[in-house]
Amino acid sequence: MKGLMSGTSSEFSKLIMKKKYIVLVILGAAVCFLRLGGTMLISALSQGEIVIKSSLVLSMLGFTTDILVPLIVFMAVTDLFASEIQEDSFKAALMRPLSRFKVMTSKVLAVFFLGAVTMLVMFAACLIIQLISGRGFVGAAQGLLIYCVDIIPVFALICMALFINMTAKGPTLSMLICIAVYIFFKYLNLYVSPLGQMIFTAYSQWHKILVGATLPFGALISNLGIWLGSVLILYTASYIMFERKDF
Amino acid sequence: MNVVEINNLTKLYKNGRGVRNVNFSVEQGDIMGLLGPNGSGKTTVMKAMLNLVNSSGSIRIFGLDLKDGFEEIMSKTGALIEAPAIYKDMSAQKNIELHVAPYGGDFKERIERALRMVHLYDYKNDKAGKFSLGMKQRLGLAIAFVTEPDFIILDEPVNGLDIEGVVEIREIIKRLNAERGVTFLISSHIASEIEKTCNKAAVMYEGEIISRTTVEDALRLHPSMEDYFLDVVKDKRGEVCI
Repeated sequence: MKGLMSGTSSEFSKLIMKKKYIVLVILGAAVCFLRLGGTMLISALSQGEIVIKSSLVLSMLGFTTDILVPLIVFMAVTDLFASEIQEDSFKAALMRPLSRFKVMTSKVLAVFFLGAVTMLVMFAACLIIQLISGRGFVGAAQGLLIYCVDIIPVFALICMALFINMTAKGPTLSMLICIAVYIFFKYLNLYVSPLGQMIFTAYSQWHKILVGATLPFGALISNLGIWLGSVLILYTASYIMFERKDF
Repeated sequence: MNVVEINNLTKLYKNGRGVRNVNFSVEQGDIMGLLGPNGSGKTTVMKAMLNLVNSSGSIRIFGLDLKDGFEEIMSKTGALIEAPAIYKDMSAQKNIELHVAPYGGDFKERIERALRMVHLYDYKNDKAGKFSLGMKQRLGLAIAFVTEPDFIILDEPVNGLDIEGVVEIREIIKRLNAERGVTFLISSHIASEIEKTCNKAAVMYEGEIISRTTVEDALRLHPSMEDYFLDVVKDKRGEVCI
């Protein structure tokens, strides 16, 4: 356990040392500003007749969970797997007193923490901007709960990216496939509803079934089961491939 | 007591190259050299010993099976394989810090000592990606030495080093062996390097170990390890005409 924790900490520190993640989060916060600017512009153009008072924290949720966080975790998985394999630095992680299972798990956990941190930073940024704009704490408490709940399904996306990284050759191809598969499943969910609901990408906004849910208990368990099943299948398949890989 | 025992190690790549039925052991306190031309399988043997490649046969290190006791084995083993595995966008110090993280404990002094040992202390905050080949090799050696392991695997350790660097690394290996009884397995395609550094040697050729000896015995019958090597491999590839 100690080895796994220290491994996760090492991998996480590797990720946060890369400036691109900080830049992406700053860009995410900038989108909050743009959204706020947009609502103020609408209000100004309508000479105060249209005033949008919705919570910025909640209105930015879709952008954060469907675009920003998936992009960041795909990049992070690709950095820690395909890129390191290509640069031949993966051996460094394997030549420490950690089993391959722990090496892979520590990397996955590091990416998950990065996703979680991104979610919380975005929540904080939205809340700060919301406060500055004089909207107060509208939806803040519920927003925090929702952001925390929506972190969990990110794990399935990480497992998907992990599986792709184990099969694709090279970081660029891995990243492109991650994005393409994610978009494909997202559209599948939008247009082929019965099939789309059976794929883990349908649950990127988990709060819809968990926070104030009106979903029957059976359906809730079914959704959780599909998500958990996807995670287990993708993680196990990735581990089998990782265990057989030569470095 | 044997630190390493390898029986029937076989690893074949898709192109048919690799190693076949490799058997050898390394006794505690030995500096064992693996001598062989490029592509003879030295690196593959070392990678198999670190579980970097999947192989068949038995590998026991410190009396433990490699697969079952990997974590315990690696806690007492240091290694440098091929080009050093380093993170190019991190400093030399950060690279070593990342390596020692799973070991636990305070490594501050040991990191400083390792960096001074390989003359990289003044460059500790420089990005490893900007290092020359020799400096990267020194950093790889610092990573191998920093945890003060009982057994060290070095694959072509003097690759890319200048003359002074070669001599320094040789002295470090000998000193660690004499003072702390560290066991070494070193590969090289340069016979004179094995002659100057090791007390035992095994010759690898086309994926097989074709000869094992002490350096002393080899030099009793041959003027140099180079002549010993040529004598041993001549049956395999014929006389070398110059």
